[in-house]
Amino acid sequence: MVALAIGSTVATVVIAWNLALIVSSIFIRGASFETISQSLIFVLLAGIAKAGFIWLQELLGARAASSVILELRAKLLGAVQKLGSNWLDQRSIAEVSTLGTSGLSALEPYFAKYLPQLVYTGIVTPIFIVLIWSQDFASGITVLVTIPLIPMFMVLIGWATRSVQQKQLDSLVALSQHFLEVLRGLTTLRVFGRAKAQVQTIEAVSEEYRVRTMTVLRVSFLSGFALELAASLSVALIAVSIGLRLVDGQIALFTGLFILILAPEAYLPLRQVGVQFHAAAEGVTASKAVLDILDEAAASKAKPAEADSTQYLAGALNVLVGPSGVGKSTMMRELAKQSNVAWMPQSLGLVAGTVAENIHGPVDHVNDEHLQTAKKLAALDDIALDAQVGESASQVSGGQAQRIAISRTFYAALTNRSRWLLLDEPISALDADRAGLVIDSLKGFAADGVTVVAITHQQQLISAAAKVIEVQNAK
Amino acid sequence: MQNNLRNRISLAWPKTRSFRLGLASSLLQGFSAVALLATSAWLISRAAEQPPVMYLMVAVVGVRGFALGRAAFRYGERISLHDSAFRMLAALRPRIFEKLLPFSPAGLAGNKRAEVLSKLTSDVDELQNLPLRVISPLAQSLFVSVLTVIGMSLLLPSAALVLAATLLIAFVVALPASALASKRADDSMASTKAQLNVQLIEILENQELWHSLGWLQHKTKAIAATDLALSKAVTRNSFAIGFGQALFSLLATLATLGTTFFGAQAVSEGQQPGVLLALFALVPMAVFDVLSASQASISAWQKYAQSADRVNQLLERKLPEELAEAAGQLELGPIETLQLKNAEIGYPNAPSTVSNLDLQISQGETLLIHGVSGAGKTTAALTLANLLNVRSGEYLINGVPADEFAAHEIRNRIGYLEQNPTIFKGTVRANLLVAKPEAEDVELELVLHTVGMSGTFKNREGLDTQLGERGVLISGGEAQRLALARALLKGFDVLILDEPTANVDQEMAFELVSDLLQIAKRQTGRAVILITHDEQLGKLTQKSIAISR
Repeated sequence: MVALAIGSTVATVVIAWNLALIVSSIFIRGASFETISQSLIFVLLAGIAKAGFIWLQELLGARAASSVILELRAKLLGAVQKLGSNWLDQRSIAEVSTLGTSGLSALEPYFAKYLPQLVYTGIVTPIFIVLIWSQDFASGITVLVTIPLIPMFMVLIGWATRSVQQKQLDSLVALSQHFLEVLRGLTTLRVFGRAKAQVQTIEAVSEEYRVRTMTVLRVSFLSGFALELAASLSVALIAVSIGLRLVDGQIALFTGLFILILAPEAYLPLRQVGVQFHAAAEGVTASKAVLDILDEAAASKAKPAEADSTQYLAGALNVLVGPSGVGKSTMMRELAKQSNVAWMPQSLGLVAGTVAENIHGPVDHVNDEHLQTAKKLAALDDIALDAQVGESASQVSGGQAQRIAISRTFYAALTNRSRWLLLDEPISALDADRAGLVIDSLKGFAADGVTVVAITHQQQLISAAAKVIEVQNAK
Repeated sequence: MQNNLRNRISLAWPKTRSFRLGLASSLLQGFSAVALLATSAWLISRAAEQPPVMYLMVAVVGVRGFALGRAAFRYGERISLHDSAFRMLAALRPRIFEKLLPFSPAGLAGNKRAEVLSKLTSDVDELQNLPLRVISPLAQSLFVSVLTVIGMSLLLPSAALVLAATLLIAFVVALPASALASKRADDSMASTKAQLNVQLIEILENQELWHSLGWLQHKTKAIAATDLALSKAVTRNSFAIGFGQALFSLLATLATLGTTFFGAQAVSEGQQPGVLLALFALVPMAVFDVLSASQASISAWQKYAQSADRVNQLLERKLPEELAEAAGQLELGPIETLQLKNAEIGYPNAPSTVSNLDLQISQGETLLIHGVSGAGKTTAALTLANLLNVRSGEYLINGVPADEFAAHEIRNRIGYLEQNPTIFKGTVRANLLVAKPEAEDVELELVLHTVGMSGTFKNREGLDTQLGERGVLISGGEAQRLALARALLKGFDVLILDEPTANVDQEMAFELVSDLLQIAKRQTGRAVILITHDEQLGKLTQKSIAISR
């Protein structure tokens, strides 16, 4: 990035230098046309180089931005995983996933455009000032004095108008919302014969908004005005001062032209920062929520599991019963945090893909024997392994979905040699025959030494249990 | 195509004085920017010939004037154009509202209505970018380009030709290249972005489960892979975007090179005074600098065009026959009977839902219309409310065909309460005044009392209680009661209640409906039509009729 900035500056200076040289040698010294061919070639080469640098800058900016966003997204996922499901329960999943996608994408202009422009300006502007200074002291002073005025004006005016600008933004939102409300209420307004009156209200609200906003804009556009004025007036100052000194012969035409070409270039990067500032500010606001989550995760400590695993009969079928809402599922969730556990939550968590993919998951190596066993043990006899499950299990029946989830749990238990098997309402959607088969399988696991815990309301499963645990109030 | 372009532009073209003023400022600003550099170059060159200072004074004034002008015109441009954009929107919004009015509710996409309307609202907001981000920068660039080329051709045609050629390439190739590349990039990445979104939601939903299954790492890796693909696409596309910008910069250099070359040749051969050479060398850069402001306008145009097309489509929609407002002139007295005779009814652009409906309701009666969902209950309700016309058969009010009355006459007599009543954001008072703007607070309190809501807002701020904000919103049953209060205030002869229990618990439904009916019946002679899927509620009405396809 730094090399690009310097390269691009050198190219600009070479162009300015050679143009000034061409004009002064032909015009003042009356040199022949042939003598300038070398300068023309330099201009061409520098122009090509400059174009190349611009291309590279766009490429590198985009790459840098996307790698930063890539890293942030991974960090966000890590943070959410660390904060755990209890934290996630308090948020909406849609909100967090929106943050992870469009929230982070809003950062792109910040990293791809604004930051590089800021770095570029930081490097290039001093170089131009020094260059102009070295050629002509008076012009150097002018640039040196006016350039700091630009950010100063921007900050001052921005600071003075911040609250009004926020108000303007709010009222813009309010205006859109008012219109949307009116459209949503069209039928009501029509039924009550208020439609005609509403047309006038819309006009009045829009007009009021216009008047209010224009008052704000008159002030807030002043910062742009100050910026433009500082840039163009200083060019004018430099041109006039050089012109008047040329008449006295205090300065050479070459120097004058060189500075005249460079002067606007000295202001350009700073003006560009102003252009990028708004998009960048939006991105920063949008991503603040993401950064908050990262901070929160960094500050939080992983909580140890609060499960009491001693009350269950080891190597046997245990059943948890109790009225709904008493906290059985929460108990099981805590229990599932231990290692060596195969768990089936009440929300089945099936994903789009084949039945087999839902059973064995995203693994490198599939154990076909376990897959067949798990399918059989879960009484999954009415659907093929390569059938599609569909989004949110839309292409399978409720009973099939439940048995796919049981297969998945069995497969994990077989493959990981789990010592615990936890199932939340495993047979609620099954017919009695298939429920019987599943219960037999559970007993089979227990006979192999696995501690099986199931939450259920079904008598069929309760009567098969070696131990029935009544949950009164787990909270 | 051409017609389409004209429609797109004319939709958001502000026809105001402020727009012409803003456009003029924009052109003058571009002119000042180029003139500033040209005058400066001439000033310095002329000064190098060391003439008496007085010969330079005009140029000195010019330089200062153009510098001031550039900033001042820019300020004026932004102010005037924003003003014109707001005025344009202020005129357009009521137009859209009036256009949509007769379509509501039967002609507006059923369950996607909320989505369509919110999209429309943001489309309308987008329209202000036509004057601000498309027309003004493009007009400025074109104006400055043409003016400079003409100016230069008066001095040196060969240099003018080079400048014209490079500007043409800039307009036709360099400027659109970046915009097209960005658009292509957005399109090509859309599916990857959607995939990433799905993956993110899945991992958030199943985090714990996948952890226990040992899948979490693999799933995280899969997300990282999608992310990487996205990132590669971004980089690939930045190549094309960068190309446009690089080409633009190169064209600026080539233009300078060309004009300088021919300028130097002309000067050294004595065809042109040397004092003009600096102009040939410096002016192209100033022109390209002005042009760079329009780099974003093609992207802006593409976004605008999509919104404009959707809004235009809406404005050009023809009103289906079923929705045409009654054009009759007759006045309508108190309603004695409503009668559908062998009526065929249905939503516009859809098959008829019911083909031979006969029903009648007289003054003071209560009627239940029931049927399974999709049977056409709401269609019947809208027909009775005169919000939808019969396709064949007859709809008679007091024995006279409905379309012989003036629409507002019927509107004043028959009230329709939607399934999801609209509660406007604002106070309770404002919501009630929709029905009767001249009503005083006493009357409002009374009607709230009638619908059993006298206590509801006591502990809040009474009639000043804000509704519609999230959280403060009243329950489904309360919304129905408030909507009923609004209808009572208006004093309709006939009240049509469409599924008033849709958002109410099963146990509450019976109680609510019996309450609503009792309240509505307090005005003697009022007829009430109740639409519901719940046959049980028939116990509460005098007559009932089943509807099926």
